[in-house]
Amino acid sequence: MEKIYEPELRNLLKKCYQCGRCSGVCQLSKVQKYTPSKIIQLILEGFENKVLESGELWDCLTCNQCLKDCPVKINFADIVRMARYKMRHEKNQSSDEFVAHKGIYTTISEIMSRPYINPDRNMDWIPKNCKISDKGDILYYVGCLPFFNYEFENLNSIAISTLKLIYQIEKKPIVVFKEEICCGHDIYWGQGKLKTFIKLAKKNLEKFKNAGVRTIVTACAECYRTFKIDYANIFDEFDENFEVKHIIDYIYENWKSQKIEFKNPNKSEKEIQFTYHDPCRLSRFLPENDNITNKVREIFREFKYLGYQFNEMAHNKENSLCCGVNSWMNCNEKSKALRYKRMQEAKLAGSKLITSCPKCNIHLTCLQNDFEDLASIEILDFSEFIINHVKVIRTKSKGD
Amino acid sequence: MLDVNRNENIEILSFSEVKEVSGYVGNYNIIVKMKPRYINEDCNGCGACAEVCPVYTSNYFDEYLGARKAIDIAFGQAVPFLYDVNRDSCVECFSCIEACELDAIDFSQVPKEVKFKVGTIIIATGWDIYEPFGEYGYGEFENVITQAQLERILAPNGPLEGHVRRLSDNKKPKEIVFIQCVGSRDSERPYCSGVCCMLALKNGKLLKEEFPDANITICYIDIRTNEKGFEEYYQRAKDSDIKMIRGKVGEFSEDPESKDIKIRVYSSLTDEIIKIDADLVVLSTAALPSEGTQRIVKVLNLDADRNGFLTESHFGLMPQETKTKGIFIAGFAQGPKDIAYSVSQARAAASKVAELTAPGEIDIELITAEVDNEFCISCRRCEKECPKMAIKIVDEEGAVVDEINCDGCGICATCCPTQAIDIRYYRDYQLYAEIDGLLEGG
Repeated sequence: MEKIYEPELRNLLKKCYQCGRCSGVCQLSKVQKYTPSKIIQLILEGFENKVLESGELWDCLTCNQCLKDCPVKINFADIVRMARYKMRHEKNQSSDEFVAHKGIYTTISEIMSRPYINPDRNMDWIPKNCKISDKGDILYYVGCLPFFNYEFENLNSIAISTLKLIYQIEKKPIVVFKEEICCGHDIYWGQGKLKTFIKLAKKNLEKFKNAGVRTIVTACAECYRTFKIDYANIFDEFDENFEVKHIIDYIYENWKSQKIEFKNPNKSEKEIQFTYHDPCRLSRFLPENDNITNKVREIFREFKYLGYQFNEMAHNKENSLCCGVNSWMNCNEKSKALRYKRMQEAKLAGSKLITSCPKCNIHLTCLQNDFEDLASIEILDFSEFIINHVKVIRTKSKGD
Repeated sequence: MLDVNRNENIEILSFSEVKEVSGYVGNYNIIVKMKPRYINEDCNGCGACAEVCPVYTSNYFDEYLGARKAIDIAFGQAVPFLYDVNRDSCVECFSCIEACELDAIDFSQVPKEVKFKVGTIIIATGWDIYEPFGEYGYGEFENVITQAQLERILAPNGPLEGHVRRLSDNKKPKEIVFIQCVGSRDSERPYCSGVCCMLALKNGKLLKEEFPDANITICYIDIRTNEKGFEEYYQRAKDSDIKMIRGKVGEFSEDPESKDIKIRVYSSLTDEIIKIDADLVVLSTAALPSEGTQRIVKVLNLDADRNGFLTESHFGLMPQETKTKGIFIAGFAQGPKDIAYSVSQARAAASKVAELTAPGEIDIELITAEVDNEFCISCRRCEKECPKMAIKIVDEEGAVVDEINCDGCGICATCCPTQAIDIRYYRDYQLYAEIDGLLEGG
C-alpha cells in the first residue's frame, strides 16, 4: 500500500528519452500551454518540488492520449494522479478552486467513505416491471446517476434502460444496493485523495462480498475502469471473486451467445446517421487486449439492418478527443473549447451521438445550452440507444 | 556484385535458402533449396518475354510503388542477370515461351536441393525495413512514405525515374517533413537503427537540390552523426536550409481534400508547438533483422538477442565469431550498422575464415565431455541443455559426445542425474588431487 501512497516519481520516468511526442499529442495543449515532456524532464533533473509547487499538474485532463502514443509507455496520467496526492499532502495545496459544481459530487463521495455512513438511496427510479433484490450473483452498479439527476436532466433514464436490459436478459431479480456507495473514481484521479479512495474501495468490496455478487455490471465507463483495473490492483483476490462488465461487454456477450438479437419495430425509411464518442476510460485506459472499442462498433455495424448508419468521427477509438472535463476538475472556458471541437466533429458525423460514459454525456449536453448550432444533436447513452432494439431470444420456451 | 559473379572461385546460389546444416568446422554439410525461376541459365536478359507478358504486378524491389510484369527481372543490376516468373500472378498464357528465342523459359521447373560441403560459414543475411502500418497514417494516407520508398523514388531507374512527386496528385512537393525514429527506440524495438539520421540528412539535401524553394523539415529526437565526416555532413545539411525540429511528431491527420498532412509537433528546444501542413511526409522507419536472419538462427542453432540480431562470441574482442567454431557473422545481421562498418566486418570475417582454413588442419582442445555409458539412462537432459548440440542420445549406446563441437563447458556434466558425464582434465579425482596439492603446498 505504501507504494501507492508515496511513489518516487523519478523512478517511474527514467525510460523517457524526451522525444516530446506527448507534448505534441496532448489534448490540453490545444487550449493552453501544457507540455508533459517538459514536466517529465524537470522531475528527472531533480526539480520535482518545483513542478509540484507550481500546481501545474492540477490542469491535466488525465485523458491518457500521451500514454497511447508514448514509445516507451510512460503512464503520465498515473504520474499526475500520484503527484496530486503529493501536492495535497506534502505541499498542502487544495484542489478546491479547480473542482466543478462547487465540489458537491466529490464531497458526496467523501462523506460516503466514512465508516459509519450508509446512504439511504432514492429507489423511485426503478421501473415497476423490474425486480431487484439485496442478494444475488448479478449486481447492477448504478453509480452516481441518481444524484446527478437533481442537477442534470434525464440522467435516470440511463439507469432505467440499463436495469431494464439486464433484467430482460437475466429474467431474475438483479442486485441493486439501496446503500450503494461511490466507486471513488473522481477523488482518486481528480483530487489525489488516495486514502479516501481506498476506504471507499474497502467498503465496496465488503458490500459485494456480503451480497454474494459474482458479476458486476455497470453502464459507467469510470466505474468500469475503477473496478476492473484499480480495485484489482489494490485487492489481490478481486479478479478471482468478481467479474466486471461494462454494459457494452454484457450486451455483446449475450448477443454473441445468441441470447438476444437486435430488432427495430419502428424502422423508418430514411437511414438515421449516428456516431459514437469513445470515453477515455473505455479506450485509452484499458489494456490492449480489452477491445470494447471494437465490440461496440461490431454491435453498431449490426444496426445497419435496423435503419441506422454508423459513422466515425474524425478522431475515434484510441484517438478520440476528450469530452473536456475529468473527475469534475477544471470545467472552464478551455474545457468548453475542447468540447466544442468534439461536438463539431459529431455534427459532421450524424444526428445522434452515442456515448457510454454518463460524464461525457453530461459535459457534452451542457455545451448544447451555450451553442444553438450544436443543440440539434441528440446525445444518448449506449443503453438508452439500444433499449428499444433488443429482443430476447426465447429458445427454451419453445421446448416447453 | 558483378566482380563477385565473375570470380571463378565464387559460386553464387541466388533465389535459394539454406535448409539444413550438419557437421563441424572444416566439414559442414549444407543442403540448399533452390527455388525455381522457371527460367534456365540460357537466358541472356533480352527482355522479350517481359514485353509480351500481359500481367502487371506490384514491384517488390521498388517497395511496391512501381509495377513489374509477371515475368521480369528483379532489378536492373540483378546478379545473375536472369529473369524470373512470379507464379502467384502469372496467368499461364505462355506467350513468353513463344517470344523467347533461346528457349530459356521452362515452366516445368521444381524446387531442387543442392548438397555440398564447406569448411566454414559466414552469415551476412542483412536487414529488412519496418513497415509501420497504422503509425503516422502509413498505408492509409497517400502522401506518407517510408525512407526506403523515397530511396526508390529518387533512383533514376525507380518508379518515378528519379523525380520526386506527391503520390496522390503527382504534384511537386513544397513542404516536406521527415519523421525520425518511427518504430525504433520504442518498447518493442528499443534499439537505434543507426543509419536513418544520415539517410534523412542525405535525402533532405537531395530534395533541397531538386526543389530549392521547398521547405524541408526533419523532426528528430537525437541526431546521431558519430562517424567520420558525418558531423560535417550534418552541418552542410543545415547550411542548405534544412530545418531541424527537436521533437517527435504528435498529432497527425490528413486533409481529405488536398491530401495534405496536418502535423503538430512540440519543439522541445523552443518549448513551442509547431504546426506544419506538409504535402509529403517521409518516415524513417526501423531497420529490422531480416527474415533470413531469423531463419538461419534456427537452421544453425545460433543465439540471437531480444531484437533478433545474431549474438557474437564477444561484443568487443570477437565480434565476427559465433559460439560455433567455423561459423562467422558480418554486417547488419549482427546489429544495426552502416555500409562502411559492414564492409569492415565482412573483411574481418573473411580474414578470420582464412586464418582458420589456410593451415588445412585445426587443433582442438581435448577438454571435452566423456560419458560412462554404464550409468547413462538416456534421459536426454544433456541433449536438451547442450548449447552446441554436441551431445546426442543414440538409441543403443546412450549419450554420445561430438568431440569436435564440444567445448567442454560442463553443462551436461552438471545436469546429468546419474553423474555419468565427466569433463576430461576436470574429473572429480583430478580436482581432489589439485586441491590436495594446493593444500600441501601451503
